[in-house]
This record gives sequence, structure tokens and C-alpha cells, in this order.
Amino acid sequence: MDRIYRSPSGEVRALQDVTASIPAGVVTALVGPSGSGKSSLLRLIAGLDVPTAGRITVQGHEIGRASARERRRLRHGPVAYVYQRPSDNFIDHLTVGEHLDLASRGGATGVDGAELLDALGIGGRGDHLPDELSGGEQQRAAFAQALATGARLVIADEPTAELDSISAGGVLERIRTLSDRGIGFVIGTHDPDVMAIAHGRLELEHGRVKGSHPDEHPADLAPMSPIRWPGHDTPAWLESEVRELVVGLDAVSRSFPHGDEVVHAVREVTLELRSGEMVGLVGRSGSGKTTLLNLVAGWEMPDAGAVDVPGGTAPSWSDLAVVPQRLGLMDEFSVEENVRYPARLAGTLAEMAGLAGDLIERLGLADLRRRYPKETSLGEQQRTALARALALAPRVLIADEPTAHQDAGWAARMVDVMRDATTTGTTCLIATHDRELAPTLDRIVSMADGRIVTRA
Amino acid sequence: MTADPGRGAPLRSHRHPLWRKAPGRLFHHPVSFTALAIGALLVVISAAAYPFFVSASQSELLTSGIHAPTVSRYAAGLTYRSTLIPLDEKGPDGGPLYQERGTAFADAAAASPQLDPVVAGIFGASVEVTLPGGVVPASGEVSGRLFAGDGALDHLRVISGAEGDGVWLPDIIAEPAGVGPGDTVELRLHGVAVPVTVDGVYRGLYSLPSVGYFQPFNDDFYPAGCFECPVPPQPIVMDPAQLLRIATSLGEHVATFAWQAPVRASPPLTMEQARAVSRFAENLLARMERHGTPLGQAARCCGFWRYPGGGFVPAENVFRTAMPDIVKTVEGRSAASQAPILVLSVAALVIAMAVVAAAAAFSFASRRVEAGVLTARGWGPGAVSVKSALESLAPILVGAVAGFLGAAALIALVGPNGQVDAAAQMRALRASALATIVAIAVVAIVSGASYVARHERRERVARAVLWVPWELLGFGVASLLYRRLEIQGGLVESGGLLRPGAAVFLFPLALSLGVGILAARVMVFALTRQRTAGRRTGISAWFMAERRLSSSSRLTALFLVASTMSLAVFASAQAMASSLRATVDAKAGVFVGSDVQVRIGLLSEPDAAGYPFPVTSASRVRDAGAIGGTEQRFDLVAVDPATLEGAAFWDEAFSAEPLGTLLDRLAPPAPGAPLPIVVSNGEGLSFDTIDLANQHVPVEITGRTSSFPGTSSEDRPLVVVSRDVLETYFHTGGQPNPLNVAQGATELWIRGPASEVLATVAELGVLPLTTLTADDVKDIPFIDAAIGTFVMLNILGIAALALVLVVAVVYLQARQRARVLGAALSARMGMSSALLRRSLVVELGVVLGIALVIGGLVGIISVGVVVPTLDPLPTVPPDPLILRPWWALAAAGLALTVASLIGGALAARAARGVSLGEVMRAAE
Repeated sequence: MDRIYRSPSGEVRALQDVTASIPAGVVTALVGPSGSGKSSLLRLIAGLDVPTAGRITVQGHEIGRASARERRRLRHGPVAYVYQRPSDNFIDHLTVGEHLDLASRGGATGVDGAELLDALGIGGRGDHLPDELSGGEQQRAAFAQALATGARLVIADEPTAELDSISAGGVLERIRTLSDRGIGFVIGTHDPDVMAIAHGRLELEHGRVKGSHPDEHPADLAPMSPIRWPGHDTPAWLESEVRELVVGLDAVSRSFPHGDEVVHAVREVTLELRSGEMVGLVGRSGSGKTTLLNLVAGWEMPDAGAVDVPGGTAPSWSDLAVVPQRLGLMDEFSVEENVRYPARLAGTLAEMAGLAGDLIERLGLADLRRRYPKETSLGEQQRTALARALALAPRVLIADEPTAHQDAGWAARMVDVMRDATTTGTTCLIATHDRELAPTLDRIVSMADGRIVTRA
Repeated sequence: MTADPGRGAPLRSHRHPLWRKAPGRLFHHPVSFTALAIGALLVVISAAAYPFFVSASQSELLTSGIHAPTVSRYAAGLTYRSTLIPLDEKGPDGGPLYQERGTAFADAAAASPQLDPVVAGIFGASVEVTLPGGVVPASGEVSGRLFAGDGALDHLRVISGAEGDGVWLPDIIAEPAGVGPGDTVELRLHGVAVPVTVDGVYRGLYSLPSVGYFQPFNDDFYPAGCFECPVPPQPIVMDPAQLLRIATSLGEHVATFAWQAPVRASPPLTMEQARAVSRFAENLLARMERHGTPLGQAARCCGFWRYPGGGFVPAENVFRTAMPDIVKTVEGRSAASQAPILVLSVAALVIAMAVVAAAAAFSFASRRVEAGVLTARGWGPGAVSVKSALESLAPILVGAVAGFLGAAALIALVGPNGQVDAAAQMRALRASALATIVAIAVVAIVSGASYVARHERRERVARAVLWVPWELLGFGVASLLYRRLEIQGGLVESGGLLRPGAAVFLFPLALSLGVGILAARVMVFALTRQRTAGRRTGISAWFMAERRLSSSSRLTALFLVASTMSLAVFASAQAMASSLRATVDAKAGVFVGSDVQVRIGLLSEPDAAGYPFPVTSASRVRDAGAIGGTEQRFDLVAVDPATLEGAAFWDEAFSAEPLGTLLDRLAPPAPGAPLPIVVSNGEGLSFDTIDLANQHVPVEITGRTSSFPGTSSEDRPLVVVSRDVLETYFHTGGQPNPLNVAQGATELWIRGPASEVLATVAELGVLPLTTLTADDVKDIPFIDAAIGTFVMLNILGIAALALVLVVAVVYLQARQRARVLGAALSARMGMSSALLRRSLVVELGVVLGIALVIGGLVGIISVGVVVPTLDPLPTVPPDPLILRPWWALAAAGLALTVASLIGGALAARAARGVSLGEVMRAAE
């Protein structure tokens, strides 16, 4: 089976000569680096897309030949789909409960929505609108919708990418339970925990099947507990010399109204970052990580305390660069233009051309340089955003879940790139759930309820 | 989990909040709400304006027809005239016959709410008016007709006097007799004299334009059929009772009676009411003709009637009304304008529906996530369509109500100055309701189609649709229309009337569609090439704009096509309306000579001293002679060079030289030198003699023009000469005046408002034979229709352009809001507010600038093709004048520049105005 997309920048061969079979009623992990074609294949299985060539048969329906009506019937009944971006699964004016009601067709599927939400750890969120949920809560609520449809096959694109380990554990537990009852799951993922519970694995690379392991037995899940990020010794170079203080937060607090309540997103946080440090910011969804990053970036003003960053209140991109969770790539620019954009604006395009080129090469964007961001995968967009952030060798890099949609290989490559940046003096503050990053970080700061609870 | 694939509960559960919340959904999406409301507003304006316009236009024409000097509301109403009724004759009920007849008619007419109460007029014998004692005035015998009428004094131009028990004499009697108010005169007939007191003196009816009130007696008071006919005896106005008494005293036992039921003065009649008057008149006449009925007996009608004493007498009963003719004329004139207006209304409706479709597409696209969720849940396009229709109810109803009121207000403010009748209001209401339903259906269809195209993987079809060379369709249709215009002309005959054909209006639209699509393709191609080849190292507003335009090429193309069509329609309509106006003005001015033409005798000497308007006299002779030595005939106009420039019509397009220069060259020549002449409409003619009045007259052509005031034929050249010079030449040669011929006419050309000139023309001290105004010549229904249509087209173009601009600005704003994170990061990277603003201005300005150039070009081409096919008076020069829409394009350019600046600034502000903290927080 092939799937080729035609776009203004040319043809994108998302899937080529893919031949595979996925058993019913089991958990199958669809793995591969970002841009390998996982999302395209998931959309095809869900009947959201049709192949350019070849055949794909889902529960007896041949998707390529099926009419739009037949494909709709498939999604209306036996197949449920969860989009990659959590927010893409919600209609903005419906509450979580109403979404479940819609998905269960007014309860006709017999699924108890309240019980489902409880099981996923968002029991109190039934009356909330999507905008009132954190990214992790949205991801769980999106998954709950798919389960509420009563479908025999659930297709989910990175359902745990933005979840902390406890939240992800709830989701995985539910998957396993339903799998035991014969519900099939096809899950695009980079998450080792998901791979661990999968009965089989289909591995893609560059749009082709790299390997198929249909008979893998699921690993036993260890009891879920809060992640204890491994600490490690302070780097020798930090002990040997006193590095320049680059970012300083002194008893910073930030709260904002949320309905009738006041949410204390950040409470009296004091934090110092020194030149060349690579610091991880961890914590559960809703713990205040993004607000803290926003405070450092200058996009939020503290209610109390002081924030001191290079460039003061108006830092330039070479002072402080950002990889936001939403990326903020310029749709009208190609991947390469996005990477070179800061240098173009700074008037240093020629001087920084070499660095931008290196970043493009090292982050695997060379073949994508002429594509628009929307023609690339989410993981590729993340790498583009990182390359753009580092394009002026900033003094401070703030990154919010920069590897959330990367496989282990690309995540490591991204860390390498950031580590290289620190050798030139760039200080990195990285909010992440990715435990694989832990050994590579100089320091880890853990947040809960808006406070820093551990510093490792 | 208990799943039953494909057998779940119906999706369209009305209990579900997705359905329950649908009607109020768009209140949370103000841009979509506004766009749909504006679309619905335009749809309903387009649908309702037509019946409103037609009705108001007909009412205006009707009012104009009713109040025409030769008609008036009296003639438009019902008139019943009985001649020679014996004053002592008894009616069926035993009362005086004339009284019973009048009462019966008045009672019958009172049944129509469109008619005012009946006024009666009595027209008696012609009597001699002498001074007391039978003294004949020194000026000679004078006579008048006994006349009495209800409210007659209100319809006379009083010179002196006040109401009393006496009589009112016309000035034609009072002035020669030397009598005035308070004097006594004697009325004499059959040797009997009755003394009466003069209450006052009024201006004789014969010397004034006819008055509606006196229309039953026009034939008796106005000279008709000949210019030299004596003035008929003018009415001696008195009280009816006094008239009867005097008539009896003078031994006159019969009189002519007229009863008039005028149409009501206020409020003006609508067309429906006018038709009702016609029907009422028809029924009343039928009843009066049934002589067995009480009404038929009392008010006999019609024709000659038998005098009870035996034998036939030349008396007659006449029942008449001008209303059916007025209605017919109005319907004819209205029909001439309705067809093109209908074409335009349909075009406007199509454009408005396109706006609704665009708004629906925008609304759908702006909620792409919602559609994605529904896709994942297996919703089909039908359910999405129904949901979208439900969501559109509120904005479309709001827009529809506003549109209906707006259409009424639009017609009231800038439309024809006539009343809209109830039937038209109902038609407009029905059309609005239907258009609203269609608009909702369009929303449903577009939403469903967008859903299918975007979420059901039909890109291949969409791509195929975009690759179809639609511009060829536009060019093909334009080419067919061009051939049609060339072969058949722009005018078509319909119902015996000429009217502009649809090709006149559709040609610019088709051409602009073709050119617009082609330009869009070229622009997209150029932008893509530029992007591919671009190796700029710096940042500029152009760079940013170019990238944005090339990345959303479909939208750019759509915007360019819409802008081009709007501007082409605007430019074409401007140019055509102004060209037609200028052509008609020129033709009317040339034909009449000026604003007003008063024909007088050749020897009449007007006294223009102190006259408030510029006057010149000219004599013209059709087919006056031949060019020397040839058979080429020519017309002659002999002018007064001293006064012509100030009073005559002139257009600079007539000659490369100023009129004053040309006239100066007509000055008297040296003795023996040839007569200086100016030749008009004689391109290529060169001669030095003319054959005029059997004389070979040597001439010298001192100037040439394409047209000249006084030209009455395009077939013959016109020779312009100084009248004094010509007459002197012939007089010196002992020859008769060549202007004093049968086919000659001498005219005064007067520049000024026609009504005021006509009212004061008597002050010139000449007897006017006939009068003609430029407005009379311009009163050509199909030209009115064409100009009116182009004005409508123009409004349509402006409205479409304004709409395109609003949509563009709103879209820019919405897009910038959606890109708030990118904009914020750009700012952090060094993008200044000014650069962002400039780039947005350039983005908007580039598209609008290209659209302006192409639209203007299409307008210029269109006017060059269409206007020559619309010659309103082909026999009268000049040929149609073609005015280029430079000023309109300059104004449009200015407006577009301002719009681009404002749009860019608003969009930049929208991008900067969003709290990035809030945006980012939502991601947490």
C-alpha cells in the first residue's frame, strides 16, 4: 500500500509498499521515528484517508474501495480514533461529559462515562470545557471519548505523549483491561510503556515497514508510582568554576482566575540557572511547568517576586529563545525558512548560515527543508522549532516538552544538539515528561502544585 | 463495553447539546456570525430591492404622468361633460337636470377612495363685454364666455382684485377696455345687457400653459391647430348661481357642464391604485351606459343624445379619463427598465449568495477542529449540513430582517421618488423569505460540501476543479457577447420598446471573470516562481507579504478574482453611465441648441435686455443648398456670434479649438472676400463655394467641428455662418433673405433651468411658436433605463468591493489572531510592529493594486465596446462619447490604499493585542 500526498512544495511519499497485518482484539504498537508514516497509517486504518495505491482492509472493509458512507459507518461503529494533538479531539463549547455523551450516542453504547473518567483520573472534570483542562487532562479525556464509542478497534496517535507517568499509567491500565475483553488497539507511539504492554509491534521507517512483530507478549506492568527522576552528580565543570548566573527567579508567584476559583499556578518559586546548564523541569500535568516557563520567557508577569533574564523585560532571540509546546512555526515559511527566520530578522543570515545548516542536518530536516510545516509530522515540526530556537546560539533556551513526539533516537539527537549548545554557553531549561532525558540533564527541578518540590 | 457496530442510537438526537446549542452557537463566533449576517443582508437586499424599486419607479413615473401639464390630476381622474344642457330641463327626480346629473356622478365617483370630491364647471354663452351704456372700448369689440366653476379662482393667475359678488375678467378683455377691480361692465347678448361689477383681472388662459382644472374646456379656451388663429373668447369667471341668472337674463337657456373627480392630491397614487382608478372608471362608465338603471338615467352616457323636444341636436355626453393611458405609458416605460434591472438583481443575488457561501465556508473552516471530531465520530455531510443550517439561523435571520429594512430604506433614500404599494411590499416580503430559505440552504450545502472536500479525502476532485481553465469560459462568454453586440447592437426590442439587452451588462462581467481568473493564475505562478527562486538575505515587508500570499495561493487567487470583478464592474458602470449621460446631454444640447429652444418668427426681435438667462437667436435651414459644384446637400445655421457662446450648448469634444475662437472667425469679411463659415459634421469636405438660394456664394472655411448646436441631421454637413454677415451679403446683392424659406426656422436658444425659462419666456417680448427643452429630448425611456441600470451596477460594484475589503480585513485579522504565537515569537526575534504592519498592508495592497489595474482595464475595454452600441439618437450627432473612468479609478485607488492601510493596521493590532500568556496557559 502507498500513500502519497501532493502539496505546493511537491510530493510527499508518506507510505510506500507497506504490507502488514494487525490482529484483531490485541494491542499493537505502531512505532518508528517521527515522520516515518505512523500517523498516515493510523488515519488509513480509521478510514479517515484512502491509500493512493494498494489495499487496506479493516474488519472486512476494504478502505480504498469503500465509499465515504461505508468509511463513515466504520468510524460510527466498530472503529474509534484519537487525534495526535489532544485539543483536536474537542468541540470547544461542549463539556467533557457532553463529549462522552456524543461519543456514546446518548449512552447507547452502554459505556459508563463517569466511571471511565474516574478510571483515567479525571473524574471531576465531566462538567469542564476543553479549554479548562490541562494538556494531559485533554489527552485522557480524548482517549475516554474513543472508549465511550464502544468501538471494537481503537486507533490512537500518541495518546500518552503529553502525559506524566501516573496519568499514562491510568491510560495503559485501561487499555490492558479492555484488551483482555477483546477490544483491539492500534497505537502510534514512542512511549516504551506503551510498547511494553503491546501484544505486537509494527515498525515503520521512511514510510516503509522496517519490522513486524505480531507475537510479542505484553510485558508485565510494574506498579504505577510517581517517577523518581534519577539524580546524578553535579558536573565537574560546575564545581570547578563559578558559572555566570543567567536566569534568576526570586520567590515568584503567579495566579489567575479560573471561573469562580483562583488557580495558583506558580507559588514562591526561587530558581537560579547558570551559564551552560541543562536543567529539566518535571512534574505532573497542571503542576505549573508551562506557567513557570512563560514567566521566564516574559509572556506572563509575576504577581509577586522577580524574574531576571538576559535582555531584561525585552529579551531578544539571541538572549532567550523558546520552543513552545504549540511550536508557533510560521505556516507561510518552509522548514528551512523557519530555521533561518531569526537570523534573517536579526540581519545575520549570512553569518549564521553555517549554524542553521548544521542544525538542519543534525536534526534530520535536510530532506524537508522546502516543505511547509503542515506537510511534516508533529515530531519533525518539533525539531524544526528547536533548530529555529538555537539558530542564533541564544544565552537561554526554554523548551516545553520538546521531545514529546519523538522516538528515542530523535529525542537523543535533540538532547545532543542542546547539549552542544550548552558547551557554547547556552543555558537550557526543558520542561519534560520524558524520563529518557533524565540522565542527560545537569539538574532536575520537580514541580507540584506550583511549587518546586525537589531539586536534584 | 457493549458495542454494536453501526447500530447505535441515531446521531441526530435532539436532546444532545450539540443540537440544542446549535441555534445560538455562532454568537460565540462573532466573525462567522457577522459574515453570515452580512451575506444574508445582501441576499435580502438583492431580493427585496427589485419589487421595491419597480414599485417606487412606477409610482414616480405615475406621479410624473399624472402631473404632466397636459394631464393633471383632473384629467387623470374622471371627467363627465354634458354639452348644451337645457337649464330648465327636469331630471328623473324632478329637480334641474344639470343638478341631478352632477349629483348622480358625484355620488358614484365618491365610491373611489382614490378620487377627490367632484368639482363642477359651467360653460355658458359667448357674450360681448362693453363699458356701461354699451360703450365699446376704444380698442374695439371684446368678448368672453360665461364661466363658473368650483374653486376656479385657485387655478387662475390673478393680476389684480379680490373675491366678491362680481366677475373676473381676463386681461385680454380688461386691459383693452381699461377696466379693473371695482369697475362695472356690461355683458351683452341678443341685444340684452346685464351690468356686472369687476372683482378682479386674471391672465388669460390662452397665454399660459394649459391648466388641468380647465381641461374639459381646453378646446374652447386655447387656440388650436394654427398659429395665426384668433384667441378664442376667454372665460368671464363668476359664481354658478350668478352665471345661471345672467344666462337666463341674456336669454340663453343652455349651458355646457363638466364634472371632474380629480385623483387625490395626497398621498400620491401607487400603481395599484392607478389601476384601481382605471377599473373604477371602466365600471362606472358601464353603469352609466346602462340607461335603465337610476345612474344611467340620471347621468346618461355617452354620445349624442336626443333632446326631449324631438330630433337630434349636436349635444353630447362625454365620459373620459386619462388614467388608462397613463397606466399604459408607465407600464411601457417601466417595462423598458425592468428587464435590465431584473438582470442586475439576479446578478446581485448571485453575488450575495456567493458571499453567503464564502461566509459559510469561512465559518466551517474556522471550526476545523469541530469538523475533525465529527469526522472521527462518523458523522456524514447530511448531519453536518443540517447542523450548519441550524447554526446559521440566527445570523441569517438577523441579516434578513436588516436586509429587508435596508432595501426599503435604500429605495426610499436613493431610489426613485415614488411610493411603494402594499402589493409590492408583499412581493418583497415573499422574495425575502424565499431568499432567506435559499441562503440557509446554501449554508447547508456549502458546509456539507466543505466537509466532504476537507474530511472525506476528495482533494483529487478539488484539484481537478481548480485545474479547469475557467478563464476560457469567461473569455468565451465575453466573446459571444461581443459578437452579439457587434451584430445586433446593445439595444433590443421588447413589447414595441427599445431597451438595453442583457449583453450590455453581462459583457463586462464575463470579461472581468476571464481576466480575473487568468490574472490570478499568473499571480500564483509568479509568486511560486519567486518563492522558489528567492534567495534574499534580508527581511522586508515585501518578503513577508510574498511568502504569505504564496503559501495560501488558493485564497490569494480567490481574493484577486473577487476584487478584480468588483472593480471591473465598478469601473465599467462608472464609465458607461457617465458616457451615456454625456452622449445624451450632447445630443440633446446639439439638437435643441441649448437648454431651451423657443421657436419664433424670422422677423421677431426678442428683447433680451434684463432677461435673467443667456439668450441667442439662430436661424436654421434644413437642406439649405449644396456644396459648390457637387450634389452634396447641407444644412445651414445662421448664428449671432456675439451671444452664441454664452447661451448655446457646447462640448469641448466637438472641436480642437475653443468655441470663442471659431465664432471670432465668423466676423464680417472684407468687402468682396468670401463668407467665413464653420463646417460641422463634414469631415473630409473641402470647398470654396456653396449654392444657396440660387446663388453661388464664395465661402472660406475658417473652422471645423464634429458637431455644432443646431445640428438636426447626421446625414448632411452643417454650414455655420453669421446671420448678419449672410443677410448683409444677400441684401447687398439684392437677393431675398435665404433664411426666409419654408424649411427654415428661427429659434431662441436659452441656457437655464427649463421650468424657469419657460415661465419667463414671455418677458422676451416675442410670440413663442413652439418650445422644446433638452430634457424633452433626453426623455427617452430606454436611455433612462440604461443609465439607471448602470447606476445600479455601479452601486453593486461598490458594494461588492466594500464587501471584498471587509472580508479581506476580517480574514486578515482572524488569521493573524490564529498566528498569534508565531507573531509573538517573530516579535521576540526582532520583527518590529511597523514591519509587521507594513507587510500586512503590502499583502492586501498588492492584490488590490493588481485588481485595480486589471479591473480598470476591463472597464475601459468594456465601455469602448458597449457604449457605441447604445446610441440613443443615431440620427443626431455627435457619435456616442466615450468617457474613461480615470477619476473613478483614482478614487477607487485612494479608497483601496486607505483600506489596505487600515486593514494592515487592524490585523497587526489584532496580532499584538492577544495575551500570549493566556494562549500559552491553555496549552498547559
